[in-house]
Amino acid sequence: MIWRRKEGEKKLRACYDKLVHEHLSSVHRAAHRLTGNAADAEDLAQEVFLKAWRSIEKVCEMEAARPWLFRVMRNAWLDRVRKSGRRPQLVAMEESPDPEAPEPIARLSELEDQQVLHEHIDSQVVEALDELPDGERLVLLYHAFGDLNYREIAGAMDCPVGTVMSRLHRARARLRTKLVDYAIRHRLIAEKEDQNEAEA
Amino acid sequence: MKLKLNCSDVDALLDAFEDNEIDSVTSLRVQKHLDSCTGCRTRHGWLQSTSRSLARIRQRTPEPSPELRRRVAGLPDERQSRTLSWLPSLYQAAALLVLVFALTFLLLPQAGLAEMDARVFVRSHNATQTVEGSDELDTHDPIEAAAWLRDRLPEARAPRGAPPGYRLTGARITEVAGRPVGLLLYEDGARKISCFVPSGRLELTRGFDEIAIRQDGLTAGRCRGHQIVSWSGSGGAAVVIGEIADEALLAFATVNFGPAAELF
Repeated sequence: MIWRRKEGEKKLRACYDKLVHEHLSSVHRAAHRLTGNAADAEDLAQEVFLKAWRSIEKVCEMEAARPWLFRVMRNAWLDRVRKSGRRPQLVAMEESPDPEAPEPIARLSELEDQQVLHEHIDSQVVEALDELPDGERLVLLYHAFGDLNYREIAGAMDCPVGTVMSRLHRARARLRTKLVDYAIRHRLIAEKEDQNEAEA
Repeated sequence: MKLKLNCSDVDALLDAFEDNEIDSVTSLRVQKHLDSCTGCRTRHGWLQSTSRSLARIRQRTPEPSPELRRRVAGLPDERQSRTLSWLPSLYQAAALLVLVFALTFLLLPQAGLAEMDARVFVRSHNATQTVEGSDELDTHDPIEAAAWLRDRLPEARAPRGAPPGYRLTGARITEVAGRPVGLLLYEDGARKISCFVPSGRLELTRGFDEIAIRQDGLTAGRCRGHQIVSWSGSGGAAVVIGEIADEALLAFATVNFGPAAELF
């Protein structure tokens, strides 16, 4: 009986090790973008796996553990937001250029350093991510940083796939609007040319 | 689906097209429309720009540090070393034998204290679900759950409400060590817990014959030959007598569902 119990424990441990190996990176990446700082991201990721270990028998029996892990992350993050009484501000992890004093930037095709442009654009996207409503933000983060497909996101958010698609659509539309505004401000595109796009 | 897609159709499918979440036939139809529609092609271009930006941001997001990897990998070892060695080792499938006795106002000053100030929550009530003769009600209504329990256990106490973050999902009557036991079932989306609802007269248990550990307001030891754990707090205390499966016991909650202490 004791031998069988030890064998059972070994299996659970192996299952847990596999879970960590397969999912720690994606969980940590999504946690990083969700919390906005390295320390909170590590805490959140560790909390997810602690809960996974506590429910390891159930988790090992699941066909796919990933939606469960991200659902736990979502609940843990929402708990933290509730307890702190405010939504944690997403701090841009990259240096942001001053949006108040844009210099006219040459059109994309004439730019020598595309990396600079990419950094500018990415900082806008990071800002836009923080401004998204929680439901849309989580869906987008889970897809872009957690590598979840639509069905997995639906499982993690406990909502239909249709809801995932509509939230993703709205989230991206907001990001797109921000990028279009930025591009117009910096004369990367002509205002008239994309006025319709900005309004879309 | 229609043979020819219009701009509105394509707009609704563009995200799924970009994410490879649609079937190949629909994907071809979308591509065909994009090839001939400047407006949709522009919208798709912006979607691709956004996706590329997110991919760059993702690439710059740091990987888990070696320290985090070490901590996460070591979590099972941490948990095991905290397990009280005197607890019996039980198979997960074994029925959980728990008898709940509440120490309430009999031990504490009577004024201002209600009965059943304490609750005992158990993680994973699957073992009790498999006991033959278990009867269950699916409901989110605490009043319905209370009435259902009292129909079957006349002295069952009415629930006071769900623990923070949890919602009531039902009630169950099962049998533990030959005695009927009522359970209120809760879940928070990721975890299911049960709250034991006592029936019949509550027996006071006093003192320990042998104490194995005292920690953070918990006392564990033996009483009249049984392994027991007790908590004491300003709201009351609960004593669990019986065999406790490892990792089964979740928390003790005060009447106000204040901060619950994890036992193990």
